[in-house]
Amino acid sequence: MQEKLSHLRTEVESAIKSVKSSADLEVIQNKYFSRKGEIALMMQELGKLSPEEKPKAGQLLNETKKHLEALFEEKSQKIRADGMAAELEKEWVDVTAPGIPYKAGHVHPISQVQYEVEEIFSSMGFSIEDGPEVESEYYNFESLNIPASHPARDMQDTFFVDKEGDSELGRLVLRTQTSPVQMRTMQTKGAPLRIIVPGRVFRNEATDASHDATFYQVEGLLIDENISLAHLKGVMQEFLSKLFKKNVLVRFRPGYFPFVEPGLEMDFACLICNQKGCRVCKQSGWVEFMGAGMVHPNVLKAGKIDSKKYQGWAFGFGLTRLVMMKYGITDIRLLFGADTRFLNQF
Amino acid sequence: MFVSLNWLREFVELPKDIDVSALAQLITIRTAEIDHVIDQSKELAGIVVAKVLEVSKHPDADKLIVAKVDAGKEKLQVVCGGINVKEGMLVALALPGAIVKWHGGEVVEMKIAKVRGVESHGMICASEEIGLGNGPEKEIMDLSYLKVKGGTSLAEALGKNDTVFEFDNKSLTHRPDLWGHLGIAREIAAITGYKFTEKKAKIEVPKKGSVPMVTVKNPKLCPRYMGLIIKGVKVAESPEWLKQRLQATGHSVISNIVDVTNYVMEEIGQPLHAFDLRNLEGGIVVRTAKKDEKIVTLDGEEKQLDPSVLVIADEKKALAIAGVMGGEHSGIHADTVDILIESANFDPTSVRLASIKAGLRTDSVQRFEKSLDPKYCKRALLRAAELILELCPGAELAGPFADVSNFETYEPVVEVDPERISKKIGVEISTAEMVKILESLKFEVTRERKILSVKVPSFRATKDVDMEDDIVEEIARMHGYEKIPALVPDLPAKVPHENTERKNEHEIREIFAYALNFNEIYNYSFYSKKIISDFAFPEKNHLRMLNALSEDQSHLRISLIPNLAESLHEAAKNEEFPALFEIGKTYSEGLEFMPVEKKVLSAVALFKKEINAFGVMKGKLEEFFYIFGIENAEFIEAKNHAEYIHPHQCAEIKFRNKIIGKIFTLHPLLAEKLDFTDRIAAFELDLSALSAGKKTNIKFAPESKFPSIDFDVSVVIDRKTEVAALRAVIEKAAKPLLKTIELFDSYEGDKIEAGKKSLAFRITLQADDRTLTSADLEHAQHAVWNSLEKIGGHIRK
Repeated sequence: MQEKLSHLRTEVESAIKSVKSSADLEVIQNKYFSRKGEIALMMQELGKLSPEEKPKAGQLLNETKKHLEALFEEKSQKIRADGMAAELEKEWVDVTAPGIPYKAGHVHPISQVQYEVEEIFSSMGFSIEDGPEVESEYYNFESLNIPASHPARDMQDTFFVDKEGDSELGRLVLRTQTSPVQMRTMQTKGAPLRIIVPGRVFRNEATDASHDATFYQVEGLLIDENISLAHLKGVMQEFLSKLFKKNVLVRFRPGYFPFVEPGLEMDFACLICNQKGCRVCKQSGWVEFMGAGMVHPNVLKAGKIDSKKYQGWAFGFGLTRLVMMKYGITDIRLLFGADTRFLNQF
Repeated sequence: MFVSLNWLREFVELPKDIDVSALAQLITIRTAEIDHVIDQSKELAGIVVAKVLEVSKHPDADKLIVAKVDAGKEKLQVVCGGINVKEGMLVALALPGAIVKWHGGEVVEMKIAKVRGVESHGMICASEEIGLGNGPEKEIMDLSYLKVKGGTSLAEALGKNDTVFEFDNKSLTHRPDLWGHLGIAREIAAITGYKFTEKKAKIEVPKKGSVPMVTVKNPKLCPRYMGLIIKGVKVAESPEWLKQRLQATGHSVISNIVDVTNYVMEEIGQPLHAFDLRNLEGGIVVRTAKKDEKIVTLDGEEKQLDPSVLVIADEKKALAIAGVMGGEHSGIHADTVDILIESANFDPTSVRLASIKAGLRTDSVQRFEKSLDPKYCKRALLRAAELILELCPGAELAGPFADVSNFETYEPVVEVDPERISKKIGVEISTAEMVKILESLKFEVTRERKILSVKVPSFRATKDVDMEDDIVEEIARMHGYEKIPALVPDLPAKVPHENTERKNEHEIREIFAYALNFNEIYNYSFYSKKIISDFAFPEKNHLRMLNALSEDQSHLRISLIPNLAESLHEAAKNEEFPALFEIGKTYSEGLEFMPVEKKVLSAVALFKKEINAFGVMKGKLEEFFYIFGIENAEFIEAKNHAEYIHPHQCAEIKFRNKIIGKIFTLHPLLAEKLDFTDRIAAFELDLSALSAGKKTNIKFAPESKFPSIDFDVSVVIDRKTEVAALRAVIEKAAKPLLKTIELFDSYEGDKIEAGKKSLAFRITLQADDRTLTSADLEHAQHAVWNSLEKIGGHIRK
């Protein structure tokens, strides 16, 4: 038995060694490992042995069986892997070929920047307000200290709705600025107040690459007991630095808007040339950004806010212009309509 | 507005070598914005006066000549096309490197070049080529009158040594006092500290003689009217110095008399007008125009007047539109001898409205509409008289001036609290500095304890300064806006009240773009009357524009769909089947005066005809509802649809017992009308309702520990039986073990009876407390079969 086993062991070992294909494996499987294979036959023979011989021979047979099975398994793994390699080679992909197209949509650049603006001002304690886009002359002009004789009331600037006016509110106009929401919020919420108003505004003017009759503005208003121009500088510097993700300097210079006094223009240091002078800043080092100023007492009065106790500032900047600056968009008209070559870039 | 530095120097002692760009910067941050600084000599850099020595024909071109010129340092050969070039003539020669306008157009840099084989070392210029006006065609500029040596720079020869500041007019809106060199000089003196001199006319007006007869019928619209008669003038060309000043400030030169009126306006800011006395019939009458009255203005056009327009008239006819423009007939002509100079003050609003009506926006209007100080009428009138006498030695003042005054000098006294001023500016400024600043601006200040009484000079009081906040501005800007620190306000760090709708808007955008693959677009708020009729919208719901930019934008939209559908064309240029969405407002007439505005979410998408467009769109909308958190929105077949909608593919969306929008396929006929061959599916939803109904608290529901079992049921039923109805029936029958019902197949066609459809549902059962048995399954199955059969279904087993 012992001899026979050792013979079988050598025979199977060499048979496994010489295996070249899965067909060879099958032959070995059938010849040695199947139910009627030689190893099974040896098991049967084991039964015929005497009780004294049995344990030792049994142990030996088990060991041999395990050893050969392991060897066989190892070989079959290898043969499978070798065979697979050839199969897989046929499945070679060109990793530089483009993926199968999957197109997500895009959020409009104005929406994206508006969201950023809202987030930054929210983090500074400003709430976001809305108001009607079709406004009355009262809210759009009179209440903001722009009397009927002011040049801004000329037909060429304002869109009017073809409808008879109201004795108190005047005619209906498309709001030319987001400022009427200042007034509405003052009247409904009172002081103190910290708000911004992003929104659509309209001007009746000819359209070209840098002007559109419809555009977006952001209005800001801060009214409290001890608010000064220094705070306007501080808040705007903070806002622009967060938006552009680098330190941005601002400067004030005199400007005129009927609803503020003093009235200012605010510029920020040109980010393109770092104030060395370039086309964007017209060689001045400064980019015009917005109008602002301390809220005019007449406006506070119309807003039913006690101008002896409260003071504050307001500003208004062009969100559309900011979007154009941020992304280097040179034609404002791209922002309206569905040119997907444009939209897909954001 | 253009301001000449040389002119300013007459009123303020600026150093000769002043850094003009630094001065411009300073004016910009203290007073008003300067857009450009124009250095006249630089504009003519590289251009010299040259003497033509020799002229010969170009060997290869009939229309060209070859000239030898003396350019000072050297003698040069130049090819030229000018027909008037002669030997001995002085010409403007652009040397290599000079910038010229090629034939008055394209800006080019001169280079040595061969012209038809002959070398040319520069260009003999025509006036338009170097920005000096338009000369006769094909003629070069004849400078022989200059009597300078060849090689003299043209700027020097022409006296073009001025610097011109171009102010942004908008930034001067509230400063009537800055619309003349005098005022600007006074302001510069205040901001720089250089000495200012009031240079007034030194002229004696005779005590006796002819005084113009003036009647002001409407003193409210004309607070002051002054007139002066000058006899024996000789209309001629203005002298060079006057022309240069006017050209520098953007005026064309006309004749000495007219030029003087413009000159004084530029100097003092007060517009003047000169009438030819010959054409006046009787005295001056300032009155409103008569109904149907007409006037031919100086520009040669006839203007229709109306009784709201103030005119200057004689006893018979209107002579000028007050403050706007004079009439052609009564103006200065070449043979005018005796003149009347008008220096008046008009109501700003009245001038502005008249200017809009006449369609004339003149230098005079620009000034009057700012509210001029009537005190300056006299000063301007005297200055004009002085200049006219200087230019016309034979002329003389005919007598005293007329002065019809109906105004009181307004010089309000404003009490201000220096402490409050500092608090508003946000930087500590001493009272002494405040006083100094105000005095430099010609305010008179008296101190009473802690309060300052500030008397405002009349030229600042007409519109600009009459309250403490106005004084704050004066102090803030003069102290220097750059000295204000940037401070973050010391306010309670409260979390702002959240604008939930805005927040949700942004979330909706992200879901539509990034999860559902729609592109967000922005469209205009308008559309045309044609759209209204194409879509058969009720026109009366619309707000119509009184002054639309174009016919395409005549009405405010009541729906976003028309413009979105239109946008599909543009999007389809680059993408085969685009899907677009927009969040925006609709506007419609309501019961109140103020219109009804709604914030709407709308989407459109283009589909191949074979595709179930409605189904795909509905699937997207359902997924949106699921992600965003709209639960239990119902789709109800719409019975009354608008004409623009497919009659059998439209559902109203009901949410919380309210219809909040609709989803539909566009009527194929309308799609065709809009030039689409494909199908368009769309929906529109009230965004405010969505935002208000968003589920905010998600609660995790743990899965049952016990296995679920499912079974399929296939039913053939009338094709118009709604899936919603079948689901309701199944739900009722399979309760309480029912977990989900899923429709996984739907068929209509040849294999089943006409008018029927076959639907297959997978029904899943599950309990939270036990494993279900086959008895449970059979029980549910039978219940479902029975109930479906009861409503006319045939179960396919």
